[in-house]
Amino acid sequence: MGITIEARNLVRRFGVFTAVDGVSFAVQEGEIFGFLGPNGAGKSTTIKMLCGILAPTSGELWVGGVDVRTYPEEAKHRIGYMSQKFSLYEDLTVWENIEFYAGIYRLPKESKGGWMEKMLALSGLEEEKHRLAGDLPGGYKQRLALGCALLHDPPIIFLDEPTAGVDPISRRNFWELIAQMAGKGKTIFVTTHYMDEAEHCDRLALINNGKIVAAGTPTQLKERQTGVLLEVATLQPIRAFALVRRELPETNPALFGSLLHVSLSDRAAMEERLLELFKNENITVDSMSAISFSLEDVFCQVMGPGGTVGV
Amino acid sequence: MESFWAEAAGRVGQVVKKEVIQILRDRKFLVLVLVTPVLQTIIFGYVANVDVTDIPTVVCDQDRSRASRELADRFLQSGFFSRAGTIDDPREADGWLDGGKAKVVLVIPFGYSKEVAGKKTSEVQVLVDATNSNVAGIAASYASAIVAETNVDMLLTRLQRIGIRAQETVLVEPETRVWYNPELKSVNFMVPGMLCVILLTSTMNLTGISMVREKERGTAEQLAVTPVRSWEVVLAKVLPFIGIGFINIVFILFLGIFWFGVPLAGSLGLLFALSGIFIFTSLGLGVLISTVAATQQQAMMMAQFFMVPNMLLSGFMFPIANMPAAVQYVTYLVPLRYYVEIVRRIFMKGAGLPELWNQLVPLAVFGIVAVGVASLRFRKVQK
Ligand SMILES: Nc1ncnc2c1ncn2[C@@H]1O[C@H](COP(=O)(O)OP(=O)(O)OP(=O)(O)O)[C@@H](O)[C@H]1O
Ligand SMILES: [Mg+2]
Repeated sequence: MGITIEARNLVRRFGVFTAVDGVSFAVQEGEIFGFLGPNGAGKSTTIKMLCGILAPTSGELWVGGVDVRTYPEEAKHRIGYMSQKFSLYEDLTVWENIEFYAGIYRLPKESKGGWMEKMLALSGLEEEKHRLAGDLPGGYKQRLALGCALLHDPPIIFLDEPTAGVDPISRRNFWELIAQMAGKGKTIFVTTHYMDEAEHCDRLALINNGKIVAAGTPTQLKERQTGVLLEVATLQPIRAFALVRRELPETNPALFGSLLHVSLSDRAAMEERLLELFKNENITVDSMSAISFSLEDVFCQVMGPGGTVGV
Repeated sequence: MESFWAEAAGRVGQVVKKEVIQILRDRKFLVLVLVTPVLQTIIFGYVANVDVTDIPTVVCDQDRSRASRELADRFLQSGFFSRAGTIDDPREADGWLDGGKAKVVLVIPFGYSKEVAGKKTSEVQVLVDATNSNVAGIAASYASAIVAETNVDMLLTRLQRIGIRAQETVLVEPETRVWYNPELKSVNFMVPGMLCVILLTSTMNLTGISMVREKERGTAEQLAVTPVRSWEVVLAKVLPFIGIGFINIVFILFLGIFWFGVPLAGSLGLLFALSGIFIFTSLGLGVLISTVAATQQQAMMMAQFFMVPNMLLSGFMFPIANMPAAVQYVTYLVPLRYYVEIVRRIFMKGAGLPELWNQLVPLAVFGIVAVGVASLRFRKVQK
């Protein structure tokens, strides 16, 4: 298994603003590689450079063994791309969209019909064949977009937030499709905001402000966390969160529903201080226990001090 | 593997097919595209119907000779000029013109008959109210045509007198006088011009919209990751709208010829063929605009903006010959100018391809450059 996507010191500026700031990573063939980061982190910008539709300001990148900067057209036969925004023709039917991309990729006559049927089945849209793409529910649209991106059977697939705004069932179906693709040896580069989705990835890179701040397998990322994570159950979670963020920002407080997570480097000393703070502010603590880091905790932690509100 | 061109043609065909489906599916758009030019033609046709006949004319005959009366009669019997009054002193002319009681004053000077008889040149003055420059231009050109005709007749008489019969003189042949618009109906002049302007408006806006829509909806980005080339997309965007352009032409011509009764002197086939080239050019310009514009509104605004010099400098409204020399040079940069010339010459003079080459070549060059630059600008890799 070799490296099939590689970026070295990738930089992209828009005027004076640097959207991607010296990003380097390598993706193995057959891997599901996740790109995680908050809004505006530079995920889409990176993906567009990898797909050869946005020129990097500097840096090198290879996709499928091809230098994208010099031979963008060569690389295009090897990649499938699903953009963050639905970008098929809404005024064409499902089938017309599939036909269009099959024609654009010049699929050979003999296998064309078969492939088109196969992609229709893969998207699970046989029933919707003659519906306008614009009239499809969100989850169907995403599957159609995936189907069209896979029509020419590319070995490398770029998916930019493929499940944004899609219901949980559709998301699950979609990830089953992705797993199926990976099973067939395809390389998948996917960006996401969802932590459960990140757990499905073989490897992850966390990006913030255009820089990669952490990388590794989900397990590695979790294990790499030092200190102890405390989960605090209280009746006043919001007030508690605000308080800790003000007084002890270094503990990276984060809200998970009604639970407050704080990470402590030195449990013995910090726990006391925390309890005292809550007591002074009349915040009743129901329970406080050490738990293991989830990916979301890692995410909040590495995205910098000050804390983030989790979902 | 398909050959390079077969592949390219296949992709262009695929994009064209998609475009056609989209156009046919958008009923409102389709109606707008097909009906608007028809309405514009009808409105324009009636508005432009300011016929130049019976121009009120004041005669100032200072010579009071047979020759001078003959000249005045030629004016008044031509149908273009009618007598509004008679004056003795040319200085009264201003009063008539300023008061709007007359549009033309014909001044025949003292000694006109003597000078003419003495084979000397005589200066006949034709004062024209230029408030409406179109009417003024036409009136002036007819006045000079009548004077020229008089000259010819006098020359013939003179030649006869010295023993040469008219048949033997190859000098003058009445048929060689080219009267562009013998009935002097402005609609004959305006309808061909309208055809050009309406065609430019509709086609340029259309492609502009269709290109920008692709950008706005993000489908252009999806196209960018496919192997389709920029020029293939640009070409495929232009082709279906050439069809729409032709449908527009058929409607406008039908209205012009049968409704407004505009005579077509030249060949219909040639008019169609050359219109095809103009449509290509104007679509190319539309695409070019759309590569600059980010939204459909912007594209529309830019197209409107581009229309202004085309309307003013193409000769559609104001004769290019009446413009200052510097402005006349600028008109060469206005693509509509060539097409207006082509259409008017085919319509009014029955011009054929040999006479139209010099207009056709610049027009085609504009088109090729526009499509070429648009292809370069519609880059697949965003800089
Ligand atoms: N064409 C552009 N011109 C100027 N700035 C841009 C452009 N494209 C992106 N940016 C900026 O670059 C930064 C990174 O954008 P990008 O779309 O890569 O973020 P992202 O990680 O995909 O975010 P999201 O999760 O919201 O999709 C943002 O601040 C964005 O405003
Ligand atoms: Mg994005």
